[in-house]
Amino acid sequence: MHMANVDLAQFQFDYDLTWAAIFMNADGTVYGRFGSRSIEGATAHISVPALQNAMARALGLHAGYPANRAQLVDKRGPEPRWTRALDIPALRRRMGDRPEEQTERKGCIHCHHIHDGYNETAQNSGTFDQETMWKFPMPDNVGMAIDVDSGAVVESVAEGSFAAVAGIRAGDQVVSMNGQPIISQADMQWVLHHIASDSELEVVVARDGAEARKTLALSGDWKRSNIVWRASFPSIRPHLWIRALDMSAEDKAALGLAPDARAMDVTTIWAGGVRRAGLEIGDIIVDADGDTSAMDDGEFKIWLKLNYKDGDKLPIVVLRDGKRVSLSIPIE
Amino acid sequence: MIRPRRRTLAIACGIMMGVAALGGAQLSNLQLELEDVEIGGGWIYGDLDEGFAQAKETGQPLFVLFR
Repeated sequence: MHMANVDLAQFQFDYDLTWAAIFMNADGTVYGRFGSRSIEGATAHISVPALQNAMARALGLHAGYPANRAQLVDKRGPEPRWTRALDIPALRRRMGDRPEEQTERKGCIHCHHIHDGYNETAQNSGTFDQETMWKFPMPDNVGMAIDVDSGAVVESVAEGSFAAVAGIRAGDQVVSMNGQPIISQADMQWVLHHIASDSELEVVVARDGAEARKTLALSGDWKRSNIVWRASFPSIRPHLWIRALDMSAEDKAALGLAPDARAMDVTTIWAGGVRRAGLEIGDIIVDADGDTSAMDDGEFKIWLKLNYKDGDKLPIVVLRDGKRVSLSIPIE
Repeated sequence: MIRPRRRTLAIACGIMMGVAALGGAQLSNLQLELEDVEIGGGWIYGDLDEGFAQAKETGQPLFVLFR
């Protein structure tokens, strides 16, 4: 079986994950999800004890079902616009004319292709919303770092964060968010994914044998994070077909640059247009459209996608043989 | 069991707490491809309908895995 046959209304999760699980009742009611990932790595937020804890909590919800049905309604999610992968226009165009390949690994629709399909369809129709780039934010984004093995206990609270202001403390166990029982970090991400950036988040925590209700007043761009790990990231346009690595503080110092200065060593160029514009391997980008702050390759690519569109030119300044060279690089 | 770097997509349904052991059953091509040769018990590979049917029959919850 591959993703082409999966009911996308029933099975809603972070399709960029390489390992994702859903706990559910035979009637389709979702008890919870498991599987989390960030720029920190594929295994940074999951563990076998975390899965065991999620299973135990799911079994607890199953034991309480259907009396707890009302708490679980929002775990299914709103009806998606397309309920089958091949109904998504960009995916249908990509795969639909090769049905014989869909049963082969090469032509198989993978989970992340769902996000690819959403991205490409919206971009092709001119309706792409950049806010949809920030999928399934981790609880860290609101200030709560969760102990990996427990999957629900707050390990630390970032100073000045939404969680800190609301009074959440290290050691609290997250019981529910906006009324939804929490069995894992993935469940927290589910809630954070679906709420608006400017909204209130009600978190019930267990502390010292009692439950406490905390309200986080969320606002701003807290959903943002480094998303270059996502398999669907390349499907977001535009692209600058180079790799340029942030140099070490020592190497920057040797060039007379501060540690927080832009100094990106161009190691790979994939596009002929970029070469024809004059960029060379070994060039060091020190300025991009007036921005001279330090960025790594991923941050640079995210910044491009947020601020430019296909066909734009990016003015840059590079260091080459000790001289500053101004170039205008095509974004495709 | 957790091998997050694998690029293969598969769907496996497990009835939590297990159902009848499938000892001696033939390994499916999908199991072999995923190298899940030591996984047995109540796992169903690539057949969601069968997973739902067993969950309904036994009254046990489903664990649906995508990888």
